[in-house]
Amino acid sequence: MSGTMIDDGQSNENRPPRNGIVQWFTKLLDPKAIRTIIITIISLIAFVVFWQVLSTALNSEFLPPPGKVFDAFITVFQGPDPATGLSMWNHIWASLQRFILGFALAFVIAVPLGLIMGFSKIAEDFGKPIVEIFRPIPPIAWIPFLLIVLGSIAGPVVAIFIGVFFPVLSNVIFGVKSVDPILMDAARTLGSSKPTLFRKVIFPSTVPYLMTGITIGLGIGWMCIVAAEFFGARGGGVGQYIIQQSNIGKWDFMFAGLIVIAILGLVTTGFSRFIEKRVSKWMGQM
Amino acid sequence: MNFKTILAAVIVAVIVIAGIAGAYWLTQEEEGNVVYWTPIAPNLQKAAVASGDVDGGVAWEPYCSDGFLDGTTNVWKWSDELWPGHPCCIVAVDNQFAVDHPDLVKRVVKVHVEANRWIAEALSNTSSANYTMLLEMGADFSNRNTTVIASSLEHLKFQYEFDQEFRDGLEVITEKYIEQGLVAESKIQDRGYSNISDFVASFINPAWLVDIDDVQPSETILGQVRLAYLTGDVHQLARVVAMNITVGGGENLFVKYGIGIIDPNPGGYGNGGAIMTAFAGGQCDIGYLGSPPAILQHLNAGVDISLASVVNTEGSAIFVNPSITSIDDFEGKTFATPGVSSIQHLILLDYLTSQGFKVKQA
Repeated sequence: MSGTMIDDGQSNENRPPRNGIVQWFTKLLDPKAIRTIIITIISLIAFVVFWQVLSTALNSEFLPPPGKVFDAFITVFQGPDPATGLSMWNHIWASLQRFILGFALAFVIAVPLGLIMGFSKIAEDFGKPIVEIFRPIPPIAWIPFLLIVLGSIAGPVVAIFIGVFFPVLSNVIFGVKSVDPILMDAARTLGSSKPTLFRKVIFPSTVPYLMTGITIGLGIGWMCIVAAEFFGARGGGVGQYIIQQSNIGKWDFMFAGLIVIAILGLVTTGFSRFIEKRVSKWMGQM
Repeated sequence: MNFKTILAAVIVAVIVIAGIAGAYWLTQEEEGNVVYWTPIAPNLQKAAVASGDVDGGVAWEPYCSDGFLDGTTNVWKWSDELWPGHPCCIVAVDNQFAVDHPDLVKRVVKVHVEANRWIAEALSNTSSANYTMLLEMGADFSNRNTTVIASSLEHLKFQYEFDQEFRDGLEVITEKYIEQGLVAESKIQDRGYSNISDFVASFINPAWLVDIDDVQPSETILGQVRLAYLTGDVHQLARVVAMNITVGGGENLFVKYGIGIIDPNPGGYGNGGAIMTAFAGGQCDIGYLGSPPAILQHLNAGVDISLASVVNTEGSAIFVNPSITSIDDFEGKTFATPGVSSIQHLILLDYLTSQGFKVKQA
C-alpha cells in the first residue's frame, strides 16, 4: 500500500504493480536487515541481563529485577489503580492528549513564524532578540509558573508547546536560510513572484529541516509532559503516575511507568521518522 | 494545489482537531454525586483556587491560613474537627546511622525536645518577646507574614512524645493504606511484623526519648548530621527554632549540643516522599517529614528507618472557594491535594466519603 502512495502522481504505467507486504518482507530478508535485527535483539538481551545482574548485586528494592517490573507492567494495564481509580490507559490517554495539543500549537505557530523570520530580514531582526532570550530557558523551568497562571489543564500543554516550539522554529529558520541561492535565482529568472518563490522553492526546501525540528521537539516534548505532570495535571498522566509510585515506594510500578514513557517516546519519534522519510522521498532527498 | 499539499494540510488539521478534542475531553466532568481530586503541591493550591483551576484544596499550614486570611479561600473544616489529634509529622532516623552514631541521634532528639519546650513556653504567652520571635522565625522560614503564622499556630499542636492517640492514629493510617491498595497486606509480614499493631510498635523507637534530660551540652562538635526537612512547613518549626542563634544563646541548639548540621537539600524537600527517597539514597541521616510517607516507603520499599519523636499533630484544613457555601455545592467540584501519600489526602477522602460522595481523581 505504501509503495502505491509513493508513486502517486507519477507516470509508472509500465512498472509491475508492487505489493507493500511482499516488499516489506523482501526488505526484512535482506542480509543487512537480518544482521541489524539480530544485533538489536542481542543489545536488548544484554541490557536486560545487565539490569538483572545490577539488581541482584545491589539487592535494593529501588532497582527491582526485570521480571518484577514486567509483572508490574502487566498489572498496570489490567485495571484501575485502587488509590486513584485510573488505569494506565487513562494515564496514557491523558498524557497523549496534552502532548498532541501542545505539539499542534507549537507546529501551527512555529512553522509560519520560522518561514517569515527566515525569509524577511526585518522579521528576523524583530523576532530574534525575543527568541534568543527565551530559547535557552529549559521548558521545565516554566512549569510552576505555568501551573499557577494557566492551571493544571492548560499549564502542562503550554509546557510542551514551549519544548517543541523552539526546535521547530530554529530549524525552519535555518531551513529557509539554507535554500540554494542558485535555485532562488533560477526561479526569479523564470519570473516567479514572491508568493510562488515561497511556495514552490523555499517551503519545499525547508521541509527536511522542519522534520528534524519536529523529531527533536518530540523528544523534548515528552520530557516536558512528564515534568509538568510531576507538578500537577488534571486527568492523570504517565508522569503523574511515576511520581505517585515513587512517593509511595512502589518502585517496580514506577519502573513500569518509565517503560510506558519509553514506548510512547519510541512510537512518536518512530512515527516522526517515518513521516520524515516519506517527505524526503516526496522531496527527492533519498 | 497538489496531492502533497492537501495531504500535509489534512495531517495538520487532524493533529489540531485531535488536540482540541483532547483538551475538551480533559475539561469534561462526569455527572453524579462525585467529587474529584487532583494532585497539586500545597504552595500552589491557593493560586489554583484563585484562578478557578480547582474549587478547593487540602493542605498543611501555613497554606491553609494563608488562603483564608487574604480571602482567596474559606476554611471548610480544620483537620482537628475531622480527626482530633490525628498524626502528622515525625522525626525519622536512618537505622544504620542510629547504630553507628547513637549519641548523635540522642542529641538531635534532645535538641528537638528543647526546641519544643521553647515553643510551648513562647505559645503560653502571646505577648512575650519569644512569641513574637517565634512568629518572625515562622514567617521567614515559610515566606509568609506573621499574621499567617499566628493563625497557623492556633491550628496545630506541637508535641514530641508518642502518646497512645498518636500510636492508634498510625495504625489507622496503615489500615487505610491497606484498604486503598497503597500497601499490600502481605507487606506487613514481608517486613517481619506479625500485624499492624506490631508494625507500629516496632516502627516507633521511644528509647531515644528516655532520660532525654540527662543529655548535656557539649563544648565541642561531636559529629555531623545530615538533617532533612520540608520546605516552608510550619509543622516543623521545632527545627527552625533549634537553628536559631538567639534561642540557643549565641549559638544554635544543635551546636550547643555538639552537632554540626548539614542541610542535604538547601531550602528543604518538596514532600515527604522525596525525603524518604533521600533516606534510601543515603543522602540524609535524620529527617522531619509526614508519618504517612514514612509508613508507605518503609512498608513498600523497605526504607530502613524508625521514628524517634513526634513533631506535631493536626494543623491541616480543607478549604474551598468562597462561592462554595454548603456541602451540596461540593458535587462535581475538584479539590487539590498534596498527593495520595499525604495525611491531608486521607483526611479529604474520609470526609467526602462520610458525606456520601464518590471520590475520583480528576
